Amino acid sequence: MKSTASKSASSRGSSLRRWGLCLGACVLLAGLWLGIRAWMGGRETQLNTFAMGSQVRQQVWGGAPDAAARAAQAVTALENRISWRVADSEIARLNETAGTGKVVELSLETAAVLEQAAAVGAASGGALDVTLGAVTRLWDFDGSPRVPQAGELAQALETADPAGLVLSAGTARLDTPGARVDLGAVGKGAACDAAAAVYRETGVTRGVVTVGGSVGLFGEKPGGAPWVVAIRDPKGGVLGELRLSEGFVSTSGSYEKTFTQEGRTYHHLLDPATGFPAESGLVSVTVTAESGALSDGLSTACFVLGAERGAELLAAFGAGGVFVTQDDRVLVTPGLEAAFTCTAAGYRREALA
Amino acid sequence: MRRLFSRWDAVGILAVLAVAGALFLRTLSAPKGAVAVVEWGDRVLLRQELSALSGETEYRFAGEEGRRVTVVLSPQGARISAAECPDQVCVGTGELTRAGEAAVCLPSRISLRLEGAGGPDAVTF
Repeated sequence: MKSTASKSASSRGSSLRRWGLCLGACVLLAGLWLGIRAWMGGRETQLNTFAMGSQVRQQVWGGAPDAAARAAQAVTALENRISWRVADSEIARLNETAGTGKVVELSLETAAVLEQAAAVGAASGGALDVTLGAVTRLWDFDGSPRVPQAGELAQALETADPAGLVLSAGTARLDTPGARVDLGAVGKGAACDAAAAVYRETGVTRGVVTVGGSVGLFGEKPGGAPWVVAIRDPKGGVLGELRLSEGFVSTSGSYEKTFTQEGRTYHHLLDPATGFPAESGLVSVTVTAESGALSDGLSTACFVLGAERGAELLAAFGAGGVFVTQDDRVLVTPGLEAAFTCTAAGYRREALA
Repeated sequence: MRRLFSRWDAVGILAVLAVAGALFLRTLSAPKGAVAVVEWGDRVLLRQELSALSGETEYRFAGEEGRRVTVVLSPQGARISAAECPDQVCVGTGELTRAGEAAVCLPSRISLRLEGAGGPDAVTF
């Protein structure tokens, strides 16, 4: 009896030792795993702020502890340079000197945004025109929107002249009297660029920034999986998802800012040729590009141009696009064929050449 | 002949399996994208798991300049049902049903979003 009890106690002790060892190994493995995770991604910071009339949402891993806060400051600083609404901004000063022959000194950031917008404007045949400011003010989509009277619209349209905006060695001159520059079509994308620049400077491992509906994807997602960017369905909910390794995404949709007057609904994407909301058969365009200012400007230009001409423009910039038409077709450029998944019902997906 | 497992080994294995099973079942039953988060700027005003609600529940918040926003949550989704702002863009966003979706009332700086596993990293619109 005594011998059996002793054997049982010995067996129990041996099992407990083994389980103790197993537990120790598990704790070590868990510690190792947490260490690898910390090494791979760093700590995560989330920050919500407001700038450019939009929510600025950041999710940042690693880097300096104040990286997200510095990125938010960079976005606000950019707004203070490029918004015509901010008194004494570089663009406000440029607008004040229209037609006087005076030259305005630009910061590197403002010059870069203007140059990218001008490049898209030239390549699109004027479908994006940042000198359309006098017209956008008449429509006043961000304030008290209304349909302008024919006379005032014609007068404002005459001041829109991309050739009158002369950019040279960090300076700008607005030659057309009464012309007004409005960078609303590229501002949110440019803000994503500003945030990404801070991420690079502050050693951020990876980050996602959204300014309104523009998105910046910085660095590689943990495990090498692609980032997932959902595209809003113009009818509500989600149209589909883009899987991207990094880059910038912007969408221009006729559902975003609208008003109704005398039974007719007007959207905010104006055609520079007419001064009226563009009618190209599209409801929305989503563009992926190597910079936020480009993705934002290209999405606006593509909305004005329509799907076929828009796809040609995107090809010239090495960008990709997803076009949603009024007759419920979803047209995808070749570069995004594999990256885009349409999840909404009721749409017909087609490839664009 | 020596046994592969002792009685205590069996007890340990059963305990580990029981814990693993419980965790697995919990993962299965956890609804995806089911936490509604209401924020005013960077301040979280409400976190509510939607599956814990029995029906529609209304919440009222005051944001920037005292502007009021009404949020309605239900097990099926979340929406901003009323807001003291001129453009009503946030109300027009409609019902959020998937993780990653958000509605923002800019004048009050109050946002509503759905958090949860399986949601996208960002939404473009």
